[in-house]
Amino acid sequence: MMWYQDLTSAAGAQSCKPALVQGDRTVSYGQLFQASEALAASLERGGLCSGQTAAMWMPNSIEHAIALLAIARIGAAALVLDPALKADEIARYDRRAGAVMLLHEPRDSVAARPPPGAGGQDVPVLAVPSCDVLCLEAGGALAQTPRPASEAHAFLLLSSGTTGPAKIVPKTVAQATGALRVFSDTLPYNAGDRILGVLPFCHSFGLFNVLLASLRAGATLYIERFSPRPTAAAIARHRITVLPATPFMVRMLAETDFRTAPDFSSVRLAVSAGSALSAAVVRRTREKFGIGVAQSYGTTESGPITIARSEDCVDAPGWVGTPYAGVTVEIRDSSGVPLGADLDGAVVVRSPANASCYLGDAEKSAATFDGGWVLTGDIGRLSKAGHLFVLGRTKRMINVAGKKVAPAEVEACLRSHPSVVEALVVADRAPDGGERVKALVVPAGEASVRQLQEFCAARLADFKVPRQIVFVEDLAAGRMGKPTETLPASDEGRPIA
Amino acid sequence: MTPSTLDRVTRVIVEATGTNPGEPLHEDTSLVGAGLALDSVAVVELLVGLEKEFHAEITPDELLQAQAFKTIGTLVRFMDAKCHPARPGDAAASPVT
Repeated sequence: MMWYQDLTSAAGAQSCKPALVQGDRTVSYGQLFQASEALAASLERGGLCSGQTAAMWMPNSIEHAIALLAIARIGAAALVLDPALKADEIARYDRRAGAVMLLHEPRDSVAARPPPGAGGQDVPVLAVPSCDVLCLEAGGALAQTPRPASEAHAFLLLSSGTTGPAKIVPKTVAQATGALRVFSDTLPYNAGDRILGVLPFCHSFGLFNVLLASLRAGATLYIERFSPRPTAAAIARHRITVLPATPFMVRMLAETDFRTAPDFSSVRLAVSAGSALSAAVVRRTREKFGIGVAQSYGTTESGPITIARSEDCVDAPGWVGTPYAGVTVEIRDSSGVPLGADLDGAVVVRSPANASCYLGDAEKSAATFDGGWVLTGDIGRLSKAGHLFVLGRTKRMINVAGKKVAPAEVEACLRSHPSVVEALVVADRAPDGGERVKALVVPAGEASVRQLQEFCAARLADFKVPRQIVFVEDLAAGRMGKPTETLPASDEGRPIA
Repeated sequence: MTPSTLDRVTRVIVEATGTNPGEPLHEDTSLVGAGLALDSVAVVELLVGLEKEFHAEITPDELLQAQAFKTIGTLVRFMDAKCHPARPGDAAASPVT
């Protein structure tokens, strides 16, 4: 059975049970599929067919989940965009993916934003009706009941790389199914779980291992916006059992001074993904909240690769644990020959969740996808006991609290400013383990830091805007071998799962 | 001389979020959108940084209600009100500029 059928059969068994809770709204499994059926019928009337792509630009919400299911129901692919992207970025990815429509949040939702760059998009922009409205509309059946082939695209996800804007990673129906199985065979959720939904659904971990894995298990997902105090209160109030988070979120919780420690006793599994968590934060979290944190290592291209469980803690730099069920990790030398234990080389992965190409980019595909294997771009070694250690990365990429920024994309934006001659974008490493975007700029005439930041903010998602801009006379000092050099092993260099 | 709330707030912005504005921060500098363009990650960093600096508990709801993250000035007044709440009977609380 394919992932969508896996979900519907799990849901059929418990249609009255809460599937999603967001603020004061609760949606049962029955209502969720009723609403997604109604939205599917409406999207079909709007011209979306099996085999086409619909783009989504929505924050985490009940309607985000409904839209994903509706697109799957039609047999179309969902291009899941980060809601932080700006109009230019959205239009660019929509064009590359060949999206026929762009979906955004309900107009009447609390945090509704205006549609992106009204008029600037090439495709129709549709606001998804709220779940209540969709449930009232239910009854309109789909004209067709498509059954997409296992190699049809189910999801298109963005993956930041070394050069230019992000690449588009298609996950086929079979690969999406594989991703869900790999995860649930290793860290199974069950129908009694209450899972916290703070990770963005536009990231592969949030999409597959939080939202879809929760629905597949028949669990209840609590969609919350992350902020330390409200999130801690929500964990205690909802008796959350599974806490997926980014290292940034874990660190912010650990740094917040609670007068009375929040009750995290219901949490049976805390798992961190997106970048590496420092051992100090793991320790503080255990002392403060009495919970261990597992770390998941993976990439958008491969899905989850290894899991470092808090109970078998190996206290060594770069430790990312052992492979997920069904995943094979190999270390290769520079000519592609597999290496034995304890030797450093390129980390390559075989998994049922592996994507097989980048959309419309044969050259970059050839450099990453090799006959069923994914080359992660990380450097690492395997111990004799099968533990993976990630020691550095070959990709030039900045990890801002789990969101990946391609320096080249920010450099290109800066260079398009009339007062910029040259720009080099690098990671500014914060003492606490995070990375921030920093730019070295050779100016031509009058330009202030603020002007350049505003210029970038009009064109790039806010998390890509350099927080620091330093004017220099030339880039020789900053550049020193940077783009090609293997970045030093750092705690925060690992790609998102 | 004790540092002013403005000094403390601007120091937290620079230290907690790693922002280097390249020029002095003013009361009318906006924090999100145009201006410093702080993203959602920086906003959380700033919140946690302010709690530490001012030994205060701050919820996102009260920030939103006070529109405290509109500009540095609104944030300074929010922190002043938070740390020195007007006592009942005070004719006029700190003057609003």
